[in-house]
Amino acid sequence: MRLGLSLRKQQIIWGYIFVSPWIVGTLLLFAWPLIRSLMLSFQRVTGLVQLKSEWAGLTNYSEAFREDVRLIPVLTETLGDLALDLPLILIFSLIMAILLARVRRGQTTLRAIFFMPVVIGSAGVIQELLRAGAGDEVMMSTMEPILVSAESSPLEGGIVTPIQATLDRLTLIIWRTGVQILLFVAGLNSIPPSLYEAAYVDGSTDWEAFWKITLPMLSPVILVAAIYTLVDSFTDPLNKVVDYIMDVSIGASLRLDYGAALGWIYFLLVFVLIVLLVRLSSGLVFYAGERT
Amino acid sequence: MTQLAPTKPRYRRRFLQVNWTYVWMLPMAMAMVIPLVYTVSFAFKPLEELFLFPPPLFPKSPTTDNFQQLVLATSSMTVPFSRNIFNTVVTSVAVMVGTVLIGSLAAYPLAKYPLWGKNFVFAVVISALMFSPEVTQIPRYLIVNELGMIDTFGALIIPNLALPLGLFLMKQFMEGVPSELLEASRIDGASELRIFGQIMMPLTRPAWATLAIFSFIPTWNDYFTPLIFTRSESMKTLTLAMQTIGSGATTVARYGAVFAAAFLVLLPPVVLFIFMQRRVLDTMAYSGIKS
Repeated sequence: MRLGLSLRKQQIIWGYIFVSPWIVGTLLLFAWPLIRSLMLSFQRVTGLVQLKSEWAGLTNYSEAFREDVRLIPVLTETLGDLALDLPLILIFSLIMAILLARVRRGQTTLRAIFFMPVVIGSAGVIQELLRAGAGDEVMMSTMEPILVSAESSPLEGGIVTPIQATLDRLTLIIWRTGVQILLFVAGLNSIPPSLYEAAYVDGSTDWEAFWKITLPMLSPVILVAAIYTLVDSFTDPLNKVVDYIMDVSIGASLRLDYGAALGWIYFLLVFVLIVLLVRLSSGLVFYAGERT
Repeated sequence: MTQLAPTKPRYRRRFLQVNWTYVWMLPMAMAMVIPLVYTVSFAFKPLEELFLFPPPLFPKSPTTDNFQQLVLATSSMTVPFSRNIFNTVVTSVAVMVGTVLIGSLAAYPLAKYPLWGKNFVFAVVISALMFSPEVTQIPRYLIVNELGMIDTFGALIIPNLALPLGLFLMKQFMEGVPSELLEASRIDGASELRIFGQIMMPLTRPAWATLAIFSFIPTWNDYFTPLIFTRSESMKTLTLAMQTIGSGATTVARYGAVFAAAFLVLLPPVVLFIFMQRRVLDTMAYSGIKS
């Protein structure tokens, strides 16, 4: 590849070669389906077999906001849950990662343990399987043993109930922190120890070092973790909105067109939220390596 | 992180600190492993213990009855069970290797080159991350169908390759690699491919090891993709075969088989994860990122 091109030009050519497999894959299997589903959202399917359809303008969208009684409650509920869960997940996983980074004996084992729910949790199959094959509450409880034991405890009612609700929520949150903890531990391990060394020589305490070194150096990872958390909960098949969309489009009614429209409404909402997150955090995130 | 810190002796405090760390982590760690413990213990529980409520953590009289039931259940299927296992292994490994390769290749120029249109590509990545894959599943099916890939390994592997999360993760980590390192090797006459293979990839090993785990495990556990893209029995993956076992659970004895199967499906990701985890940690200790 030395055709008398300047180093910079060579570099750019290689750059495009490197990116091209990803671009081709994305265009073909992501962008094109996306465009089709956008088209579908403005159409009305008339023949399901060959997917015949005619243009219907904005009828699907107006139906979503004017007639659909399920959409708005499902959306607000999901967003409300998220507003509570996101900070909790981030703070919890950051604390756990810092603790993990301090541990010298058994860090590997502990980290593996904390990632376990992700390994198991993504096995939606197993949940599916247990539900389909043996629709029994006891079977389901393999996934939520703590909740079950809390429910069957003798202390039920009164003051215990709200506490238990919080605990239930915490348990579920703990199970959703595996990836974030892993990201944070990787981030913590990549902070140069010389920074801490310098700070301690100058008489810094651990507390100060956390606020002045750990947090700024970790801020890009925190943003990644926040976005991951958002995306993870929005695309979770157990998410109520996704569940509703799937129910509309491949459930009994089989309304592909309306399902596509709902999918796009949901996508735009998520998109706005993440853009807001990135914008709001742009002043707070510190990049150590320069960005070219 | 404090190990390199002080010159004055603070041993006493350090001792207490570490202890507290463990005390804090213990209940959390327990909460994390309980589902796993349940899956394992259910697989070895005799039939009469499966229905105890609340379920006890450990079986009182462990048996391998459930596994025998599983063998019985799978022997009546038209395709040997090993074929389903083979399909899942091939698919998961191919997706893992492909995702890491394509993702890192694309992330490198996006992170370090002055490329025209890279901000646009990155915007596409971010939006791709947000779109629930279930929602685009129907148009995606049409395209895979038009490409004639239905019921082949291609249909199981290719749609999962250009993972936006992979590109995002790799780009984020590659930005942290000092550009001076790349400049230095460029001046020494290294080709771009060589810089990628011998500098960028070794330095971002923790990141792509993580990505490898991220892509392997969901593919291994994936139920939706094989359900939509395969038709014949011989292309069914483990998860689909398990579904068959599950739906065949008309007799009570089959419940046990379901749990044994769940245990078997869960085992490889868990083992692979523990293995990879160790490697990730080892690499991190020596990688250039740290110094």
